[in-house]
Amino acid sequence: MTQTNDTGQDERLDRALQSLPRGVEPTRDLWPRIEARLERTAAEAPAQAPRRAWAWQAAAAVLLVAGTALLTATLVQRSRDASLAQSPPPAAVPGVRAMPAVFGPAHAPNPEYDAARQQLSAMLQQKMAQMPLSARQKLEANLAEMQRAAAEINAALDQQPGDPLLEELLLNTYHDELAMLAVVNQLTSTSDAGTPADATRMQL
Amino acid sequence: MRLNFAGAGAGQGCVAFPTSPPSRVGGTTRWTLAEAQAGSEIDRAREVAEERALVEAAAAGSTAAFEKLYRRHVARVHGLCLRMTAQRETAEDCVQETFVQAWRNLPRFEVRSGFATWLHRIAVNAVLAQKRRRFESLGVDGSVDDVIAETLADANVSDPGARRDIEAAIASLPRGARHVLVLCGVYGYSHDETSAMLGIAVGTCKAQLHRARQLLGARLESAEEDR
Amino acid sequence: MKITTRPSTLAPLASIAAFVLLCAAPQAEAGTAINKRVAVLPGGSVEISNTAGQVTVTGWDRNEVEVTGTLGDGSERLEFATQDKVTRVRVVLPNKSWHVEDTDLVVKVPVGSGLSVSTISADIRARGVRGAQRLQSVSGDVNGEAGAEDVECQTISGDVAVAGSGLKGLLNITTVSGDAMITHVAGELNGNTVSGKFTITLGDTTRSRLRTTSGDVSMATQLAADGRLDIESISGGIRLDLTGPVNAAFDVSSFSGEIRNCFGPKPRRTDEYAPGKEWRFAEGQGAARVRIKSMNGDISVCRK
Repeated sequence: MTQTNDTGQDERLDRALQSLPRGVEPTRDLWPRIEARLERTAAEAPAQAPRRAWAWQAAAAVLLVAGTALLTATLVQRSRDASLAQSPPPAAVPGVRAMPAVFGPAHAPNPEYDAARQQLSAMLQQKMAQMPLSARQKLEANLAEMQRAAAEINAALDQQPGDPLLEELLLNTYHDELAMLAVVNQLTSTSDAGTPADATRMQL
Repeated sequence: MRLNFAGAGAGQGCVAFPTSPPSRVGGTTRWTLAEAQAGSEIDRAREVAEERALVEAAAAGSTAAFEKLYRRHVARVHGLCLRMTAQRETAEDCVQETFVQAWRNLPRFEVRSGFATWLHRIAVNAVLAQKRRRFESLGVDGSVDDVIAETLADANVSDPGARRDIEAAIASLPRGARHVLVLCGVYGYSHDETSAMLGIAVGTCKAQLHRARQLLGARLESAEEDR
Repeated sequence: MKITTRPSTLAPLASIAAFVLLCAAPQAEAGTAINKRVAVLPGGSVEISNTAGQVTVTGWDRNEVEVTGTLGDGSERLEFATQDKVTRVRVVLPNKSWHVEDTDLVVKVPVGSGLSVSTISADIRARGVRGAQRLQSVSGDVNGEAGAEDVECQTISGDVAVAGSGLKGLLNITTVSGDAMITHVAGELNGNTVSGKFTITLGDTTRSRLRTTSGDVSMATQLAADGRLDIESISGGIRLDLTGPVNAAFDVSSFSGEIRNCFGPKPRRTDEYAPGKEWRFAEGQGAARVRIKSMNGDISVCRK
């Protein structure tokens, strides 16, 4: 076989291989058996400290998917900052989505995300409660800053629906807010920093 | 501790895949958002963010989130396992093992890395850990064809016969060559990545790929003659 | 995270029992001087955690990790252990304690090590480490050095200072309210803050991406030929001073902030019925790209 024939055949073969579907669904649903083994895993190791460290990031991340600032809104409600009382947070009630109209129902969160969010927001609030009051307020005030920014952009979008600059700023604000919450979670997690008592040492 | 940014589009595969410039998908750089049409890129960014959210929720203990990840990735993981093992039941065992191991090791997963790639590595380990089955040396046992055929029934394929031939030909390859061909040729991993996943030397990987191509070429030719 | 072909090694890291404690002597008692050294495998990483005080890390050319310093009164012990390629230095505090003095740690690590330092209020300083680094503190200041590998600095209220080393890598800085000062860094930069003030001078910008909500960003840089600069703010002010030749396409817009430019055409209204100004044009060959967006923060772009 000449060199050219080899290359030609190789190329045809490569194309044929690349055209194969990478995904092949199993003929039956394997999830129930996997789920059963997950539960067994959880039963075997009830106290997994590293997993708890992710709780804050997870809660924040779930909210990102849900596209709502529920978490920050909850924190904002707790804060004693007077200026916040004047601008109502978009989502004051758990389960109510603060989706700007411009994104529409296509991007609305679905029940699985809500369930995961419920499961995790409780852990999140408990963590914040451990911090000294001044540190918690300072952090909440900063996180509320992002909440306020999202509200401002939403208000502007009501006036200028579909404005691409505003849409981009809004999307990025949601992303950034929750990325920030994820970072805060990681920084305040206890698995690396030592003991739970460290939370009470946080002075911002 | 590597801050690993490997995600989709990580470099050139060992076969001639069309490549696009590397982008830190899932990382903190959002250049494509700035440079392309806002609509589709916002969707892409959202998709990436959603996956990240699911991974983090699952790592914190949410089986609901993990199930969503399972639904998103099971087809690819199963496709990889099925083609590597060439046996339906073994492939299903590998899929289960993959997701259980993934669940156990989620806290150690660096969210910035590619979740799909990480899953694939676990899947390859699961495949390698399978004990050799008696019938493997006999090649295709018929079960692979059934599954592929069922898949093809749904797919909009121009030449299902040809595709079935390739899958059967892959399944009939000897084990080492088949593993390399599936990872390199079908899933686009580079020689470095493939050899690392399989625990073999890069030279061995290249030799196996060459062998696989020759065998595949020969088997496809005879399959065409038969049709 | 390491992937091996033996699933049994994928054990949760939290299992402290899995660590091999190399200190045959009892762990360092509180209030005492620390002086420990251990041989480590090359190409590994070092994880350090401390609550309050100081952590100073420098790279050296030995395959050893050395920890010196003073363990603060009230601390339970210093954990110092190495397993495979991970070495851990951790100040352990008792569960319920109120009078804990600062612990100062001076750690020397192999120059190629990966490094992860985590503190609550202890300041962190790292120099001469060339592996990937993650330096994080809740309220301590972080003082690091950029290198060829990824460097990540994160704080809530601590300030961050990063100096360049002449090498090109990726630098990620995130603060909630801490300020950041970044000087003569090359390569790629990602900065995120809510209200911190970011002051940045770069050697040349290959890629930079900065996000702030209300903190001000002030940046002086030269643009690389195919450089990308992307700055976004809600209400923080943005100031960009460009040095060297400018060959870039500018896409600057603000919803209700002012745009002040020292060169190029005047900004114009985006829409006669809406607020919003934009400034879009190409200077020189226009190969680099500068994107600046704000909600109502003022933007200023000048050449120096």
